[in-house]
Amino acid sequence: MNGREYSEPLAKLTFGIFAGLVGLMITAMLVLFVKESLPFLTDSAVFSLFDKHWTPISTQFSYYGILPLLAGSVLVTVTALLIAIPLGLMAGVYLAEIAGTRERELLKPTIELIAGLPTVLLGFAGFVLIVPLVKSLFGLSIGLTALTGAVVLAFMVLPTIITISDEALRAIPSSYKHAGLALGGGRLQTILKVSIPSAKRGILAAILLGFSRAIGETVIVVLLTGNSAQLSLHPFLPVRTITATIFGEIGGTVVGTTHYSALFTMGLILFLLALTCNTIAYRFLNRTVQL
Amino acid sequence: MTRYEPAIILLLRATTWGVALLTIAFIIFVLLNGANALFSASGYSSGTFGMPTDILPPLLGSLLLTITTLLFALPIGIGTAIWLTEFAGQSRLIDYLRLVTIAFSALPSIIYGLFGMALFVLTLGGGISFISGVGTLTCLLIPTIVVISDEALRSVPQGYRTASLALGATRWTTVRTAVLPIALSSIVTGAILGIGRIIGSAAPLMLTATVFYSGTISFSPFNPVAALPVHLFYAMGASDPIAPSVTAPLLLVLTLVLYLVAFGVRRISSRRITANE
Repeated sequence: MNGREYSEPLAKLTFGIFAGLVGLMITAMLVLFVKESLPFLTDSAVFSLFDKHWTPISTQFSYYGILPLLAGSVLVTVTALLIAIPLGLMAGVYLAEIAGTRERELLKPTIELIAGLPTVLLGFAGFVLIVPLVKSLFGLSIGLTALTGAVVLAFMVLPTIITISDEALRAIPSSYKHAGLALGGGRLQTILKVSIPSAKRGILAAILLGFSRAIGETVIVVLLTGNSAQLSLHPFLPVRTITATIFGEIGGTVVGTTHYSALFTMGLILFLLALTCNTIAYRFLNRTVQL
Repeated sequence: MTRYEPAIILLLRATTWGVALLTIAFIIFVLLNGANALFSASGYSSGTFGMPTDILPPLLGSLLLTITTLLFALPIGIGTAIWLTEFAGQSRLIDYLRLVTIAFSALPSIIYGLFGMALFVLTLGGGISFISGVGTLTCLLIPTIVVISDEALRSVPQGYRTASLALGATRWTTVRTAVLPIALSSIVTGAILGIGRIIGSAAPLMLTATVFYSGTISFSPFNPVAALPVHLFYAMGASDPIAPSVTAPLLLVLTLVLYLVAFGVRRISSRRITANE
């Protein structure tokens, strides 16, 4: 009997402590990133943040310009999304509005499987298949380019865009679509004029989450984009992203140096960017469901 | 518009099937490539290209990292979800906590890698080691487990709770006997998919737990550990034609098995629930 009396408050306390731990972890992440970034943000080196050069270990003057890295990240991510968004939305529309139940049950898990694949495996396949393909197709001297990484990243974010836009489209009450059809609109017209506009928040969320996944991906861009920090927006040139820079340089820096702190500042910028995109996306998704 | 309708529908269908078939093609490629490498490996001795052919230590390292991480992440994650849905009540603060947790669950893994490095490797003095890796992967996995369990628990109809409470059961007894059994299959499915996320993650481990695996590794929680995805990453850099081709299918099969088990659990439990109704 005693055990029962105590089990209720004990359970509540234990789970409360677990929840507290999760809250602590979230706070600690933000605090630690700011703490490790502060030495750089308060150093005079911070004035080179918007410089065109990233030369942290130069013997003359260390430039910590984020622009070439940001350009690399943006170029790779935007190219990937330019491929993935049209394909993803087309597949999302097909799964939600046109495919039959059996076909859907076959296609959806297969596509969702991509999201669970280790990205280093995608990088491996890209390295063996896409790198030589890009090299010979465009007559380049080296196949490690922004485009190469973007193609593989596009494949990586496709399931995110497809699954979320499919779910957003299916969350629309069927009465909307029936009204569209009853007004004499064809199947496609109803999709274009009724379904997609009604699901636009969900579709936007799908794109935002795809963006956040692509810009934060590390291993694929390290393996495939050539790692050259130059300010350029040409897809056939090697680039270096923010993630690849952090990944490649953090192990070799001395803890506590400006370089170390500058890398954490890059991390903080990426952290806040991804967090903002994710938060907006999930807010949108909540509303789609409540529609 | 109607005139082009069949053509456009065909285009949409081709795109969707194209993506699905590309996935299958990817799997077949990795497997065939591995088989091909194995057959051409005769006369290939361990370490010819600086990479050991023995992939047991990375496999073992990955399994140990994953199992130990689950020991921490599952109780904390599921416990937090139980607190959120069953004990915390409803308030704006709880809604924000849910939103923040779900936003954290989709953060880039390199962010968790940096965090783990600053916290476990440096601040807590764990160094590049197995325990630092477990700490980092636990942080990476917890938000996902919370989100999945929270959704599973909230999808249990309120009537189950009121019925149990009306019979005089306490909150905790209600959760244990009436709510958790129904939510369990969704939680298990989600947890298995979560495992897929940590077993294949290379970047966070490379910042916190692994070094270049040279063929000898000692299993101590305070030493660096070998892991499959990291092994694959280094093997590709070593321009070794055999090691990556052999490691890749192993990692793929491991992921596929987890995925199929998760899929099976979902299938069986959804059938059981339909049968009950």
